Amino acid sequence: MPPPPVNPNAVFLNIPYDAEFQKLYLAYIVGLSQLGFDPYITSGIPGGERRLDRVLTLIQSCRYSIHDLSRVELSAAPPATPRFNMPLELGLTITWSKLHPKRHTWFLWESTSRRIQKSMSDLDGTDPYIHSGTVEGILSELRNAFVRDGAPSVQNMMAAYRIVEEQIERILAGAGTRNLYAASVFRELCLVSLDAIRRYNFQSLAANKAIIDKAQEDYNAGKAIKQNKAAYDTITAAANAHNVAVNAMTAYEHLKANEALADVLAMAQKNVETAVADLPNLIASIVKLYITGAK
Amino acid sequence: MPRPIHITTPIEPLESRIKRLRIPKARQKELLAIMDEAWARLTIERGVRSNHSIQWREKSESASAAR
Repeated sequence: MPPPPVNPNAVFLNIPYDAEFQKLYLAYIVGLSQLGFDPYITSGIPGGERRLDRVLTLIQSCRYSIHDLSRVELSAAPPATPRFNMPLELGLTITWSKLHPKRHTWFLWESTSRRIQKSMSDLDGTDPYIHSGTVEGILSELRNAFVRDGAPSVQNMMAAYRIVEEQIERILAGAGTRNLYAASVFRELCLVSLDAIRRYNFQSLAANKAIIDKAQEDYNAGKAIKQNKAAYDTITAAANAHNVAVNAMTAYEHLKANEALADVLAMAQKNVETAVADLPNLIASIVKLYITGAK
Repeated sequence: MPRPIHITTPIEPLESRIKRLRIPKARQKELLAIMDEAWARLTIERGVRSNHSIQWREKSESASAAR
C-alpha cells in the first residue's frame, strides 16, 4: 500500500495522555497552531490490531513529529507501569524517517537535560529540546525548533494560551466529557487556538493604533518626538500601513461573512498577513523616535 | 543544542484548517461565542482602544517646515 501524502504543516504529537500533562498538551496545541502548524495525536484512533497501522499512517502523513519523553516515571495508578506506547511510536517514527528522510523530521523533547541519555541511551547524540516542564518552556522551544518568518512572540503565544486555558471548563462542559484528550475535545482546542490567531491580529491592530495615535499627538505637540522629516515619514508610514491592514482585515471579514469561495478567502487572508507583517517594524521605529526624541 | 528547522512552506489559510477539523457548525458557533466573551473581557482588562479609524489631523505646516 502506498504511503499517504505528506501534509507539510502537520506535526504528530507523541505525548502522554495524563492529567499532569494537560497544561503542556494545551501549550503544544496553542503553540503549534500559532506557528502555522496542525497538530495531530493518536486520540480517537480505535484499539485493536489495526490501531498500530493507523498510528503509522498518521506518522507518515505528518511532515514533523514531536516526541515528548518527559514523563518516564511509573504511572501512579496501580499496577505501577512505565509508558511504552511513546517509545514504540518514536521507534516507528525513527524507522520511517530513516527510510524517507525527506518526508519526515522528528524532534525529541524532554523536561530535564541529560535524562534522555539514561532513559534511552541508544539516542545518544540526539539533542532534545528541554522545556523544563513549563508552558512557557514549550512555547519558547517550539519557536526555537521551528523558525518561521513573522512567527508570534512567546509573549503573544502565552496570551493566546491563557485565554484558551481559561475556557477549558466551558469547552469540556459543552463537549460532555472531562477528558481533555478526547478526539472531539482535541479538535475543539485546535479550533479555538486557530481562532486566537485571527483575534490576536485584531488585538494587535488596536494596540498599534493606540501607539500611532499617541505618536501623532506627541509629534504635533512637539513633545517627546522631534519634529523632522524622518519622524514625520515614520509615523505616516505606520499610519498608512495600519490603514492598509485594517482595510485588508475588513475585506477578509466581509468575504467570510458572505461565504466567499475558498481561494478568494485564501487570497484575502494572504493580504491580511502581508499587511500585518509590516506593522511590527514600523511600530518599533516609532518607539525609537521616542528614545531619540527624549535625548 | 538541537538544530532548528527553517520553515518556508506557506501557512494554510485559517478557513481550510478549521474546515478540516470537521466540527459541526452549531458547535463551532458555540465555541466562538465562548471565545468572543473571553476576548472581549481581555480587551476591557487591557484597556486597549478599539477605535480603528484614523483621525490624524495632519499638521502639514509643521511637517513641511521640518523638511
